[in-house]
Amino acid sequence: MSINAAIVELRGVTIRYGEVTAVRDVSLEVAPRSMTALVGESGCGKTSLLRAIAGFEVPSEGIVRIDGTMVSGPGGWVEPRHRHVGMVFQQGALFPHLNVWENVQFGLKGARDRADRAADALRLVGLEGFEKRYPDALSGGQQQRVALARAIAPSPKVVLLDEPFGGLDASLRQRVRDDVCAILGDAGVTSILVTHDQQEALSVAERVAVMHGGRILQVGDPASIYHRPATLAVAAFVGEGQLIPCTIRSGRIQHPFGELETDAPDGDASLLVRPEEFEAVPAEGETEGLRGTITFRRYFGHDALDDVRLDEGMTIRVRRTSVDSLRPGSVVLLRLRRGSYPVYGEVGELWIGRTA
Amino acid sequence: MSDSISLQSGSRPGFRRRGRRAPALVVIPSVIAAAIVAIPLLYIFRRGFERGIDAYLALVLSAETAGLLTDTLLLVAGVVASSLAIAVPMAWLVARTDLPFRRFFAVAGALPLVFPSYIAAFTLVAVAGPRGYLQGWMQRFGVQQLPEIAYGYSGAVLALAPFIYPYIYLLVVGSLRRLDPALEESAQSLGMGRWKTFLHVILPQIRPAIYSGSLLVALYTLSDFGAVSIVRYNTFTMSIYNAYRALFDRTEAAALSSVLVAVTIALILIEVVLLRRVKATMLRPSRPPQRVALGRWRFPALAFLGAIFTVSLVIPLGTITYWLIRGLASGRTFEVLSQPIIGSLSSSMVAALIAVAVAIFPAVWTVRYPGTLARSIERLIHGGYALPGIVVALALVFFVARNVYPLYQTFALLVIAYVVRFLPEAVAATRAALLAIAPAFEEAAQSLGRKPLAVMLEVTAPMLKHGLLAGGGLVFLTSMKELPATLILRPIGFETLATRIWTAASEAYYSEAAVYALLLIAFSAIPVYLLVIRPALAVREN
Repeated sequence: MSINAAIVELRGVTIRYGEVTAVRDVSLEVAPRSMTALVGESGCGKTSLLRAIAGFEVPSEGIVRIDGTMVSGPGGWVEPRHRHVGMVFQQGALFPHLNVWENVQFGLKGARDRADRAADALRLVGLEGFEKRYPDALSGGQQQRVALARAIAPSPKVVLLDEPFGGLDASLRQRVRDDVCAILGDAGVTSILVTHDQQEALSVAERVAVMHGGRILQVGDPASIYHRPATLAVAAFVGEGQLIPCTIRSGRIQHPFGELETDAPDGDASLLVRPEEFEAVPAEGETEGLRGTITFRRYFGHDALDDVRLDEGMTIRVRRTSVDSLRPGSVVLLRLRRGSYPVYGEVGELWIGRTA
Repeated sequence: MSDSISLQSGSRPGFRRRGRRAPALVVIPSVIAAAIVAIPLLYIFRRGFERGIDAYLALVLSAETAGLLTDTLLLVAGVVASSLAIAVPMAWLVARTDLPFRRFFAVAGALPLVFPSYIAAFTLVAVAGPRGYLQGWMQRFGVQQLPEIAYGYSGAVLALAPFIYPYIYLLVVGSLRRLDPALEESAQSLGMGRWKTFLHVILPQIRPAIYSGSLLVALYTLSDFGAVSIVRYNTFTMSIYNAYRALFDRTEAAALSSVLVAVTIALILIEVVLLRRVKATMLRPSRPPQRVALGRWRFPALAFLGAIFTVSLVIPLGTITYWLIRGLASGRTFEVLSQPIIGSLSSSMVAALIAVAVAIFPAVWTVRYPGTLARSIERLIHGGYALPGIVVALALVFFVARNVYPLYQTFALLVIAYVVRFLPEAVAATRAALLAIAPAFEEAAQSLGRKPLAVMLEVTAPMLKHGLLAGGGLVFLTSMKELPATLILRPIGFETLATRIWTAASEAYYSEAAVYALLLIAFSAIPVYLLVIRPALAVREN
């Protein structure tokens, strides 16, 4: 087995609950020391898939391998307790009757280096000095860090995180998320994160698997998921964006804002543009762009999302970061920034369009 | 990643063909527990058929049995109706109005549970009987003959309803408190008046509590032996006891028991059907409910509660105290034996410990690995609870006398009877506690390398501590009060507080009965308060 062999390998995994199929024919490989995010709406099958890796769900078909060993598949099944998998649950699931130290030690066998490893794990999560506390005397963020220490203390082959930040307040969420990801990175641990929050998935994971209806629609690094969604379904789930109808004639994409170059064959197509890829400027003294009026503004502080109704009828969402005099009612000219854009052909196939 | 790896993995520890099925550790003890409940019960039917199907049918379909059935069902109907009439208004007053002293009333409402029905009946007869205190007192005013209420049907209702209505009251209070006030508020903002809101919004939501509480009251009434014997109202339990004791005709006792079993099952089925049609959602309330201002209505409300507590607390407790004082004052000496106290405490304690230890298995099975088999096993175990103590006792006597004779008339058999009968209390308490614990805790322990038994001992059991304690306390309490099973199964010379009270009061040694009754009530009051009243009332009091 080479160094880069997958730590977790799924082959054709299908999970059924009676009549309902939660996961259909999913294959995935998770590389060592990486963080992979499984992202999708609730009910898409991501948690079932994670639990199948941990051994809490039994796939009706397919193979699960952990570090090269088949743990679930035709001819066999390995109990969760023999899988060497660390689990971090949504609310932490710290044992309330045990203190922090006893919680972290729980998975360590053999007295010899037990104390050392528990101490190391606690140091890694930055909670030395909290050993004697009980879980109910910890904040939500601290609880999750203890849960992480407990999961990584036995040096598992992979750490599975099931919506670990879901129970935290929005303000705390990002900090705990950054901490947890930094700890996992420092420890060189392979991990799989399940989340319904696509921003979370894009911002922390090295690889993102987008799930929908029990299938993985696309696997890739965050940038390719965001900028090159493989299908319209992925595009619709990840980030904001709009599909602009266009036509392709001999390597040129004709769209309302201008032209792009492409290798795509002739025909009708849809161009995916994110709100930040538009540029809106005051209409006075400018000529380039489509005329429109700002009809509605969502103000976020660091930026704003404006609805611009074009004179020709379409309404476009534009993200604006610059401080200027434009406000609802202002007449603007809308342009597409220079760059390359995903284009979906008549059967939904992905092509690329670039500014000339 | 070739076949050789999967072959290798075949020899790894813990490798087996299937996944999420209940481990044998959970299944085997549950099945054994269900078998211990089921086998004697099946045996009772066998004994009933012993003289042939024709003899059985002749007895079961006789006019006497029909009369017995009518009388028993009339009593059940009367007790359930009276209990509802007490419990539902009381629960509403305590949980939803600005009634004065409502915290006091909230606790007092559950207290009658500490009186076993035979103590209630003894005091009822002493007070309201033909030569009772009330009659004697009224004669001074020239009233020669009070209406005969202490015996017969009215006596049975009076000895039961004021003491077992708390089964409905506690459930309804709990469900009223858990009701989201937003439901009522939206009904009122949609233009519904108070009364209509109660009828169309609150009542449907508390219906499950009313049904379940009524079933408990009905089952208690069916199984009551002490009270109906004292007030001489003939029901199944009394006939069965007489058939067993006086005539030594055990086949007839078995046949009558089988009819009682059928009635019990029918009642449970009625509840299942009723509950199935209920669509109630129990939301976690965001804030305490608004309270209705009673205004001038608080006087009749206080009078109502005062009357109930006079009958259900003041009179019985006052009568027992009076007996005790009169006995002490008369200077007649009587010995307070320690044996009944030790007998009660030891048998109930052992039963409670066993019940708690056994209950965790079916509770884990039904909650964590739900399925048809788990559900059937749980229902079977619950069968023991629904069945009258006298039936359980007879079933065990029949079974043991023929098949495991060394157990006959032993302490062990008495404890088994308590466990069979009251195990469901421990299972239900454990189940409820287990439902409140996310499976994530057990899964975390599994992922950290623990075997099923270790998961149970190190994670499930400690987290269930309160549920196990509550279940154990209930089993202890009900075992202490159990009369007919104790009378039938106790070893010769073995006494409990219940049997002592029974004998002493039957032979009119009231001061002696009073001592043991007060002891029994005191022992019962502690677990009743800690495990039933406090948690039931703790849900948000404003």
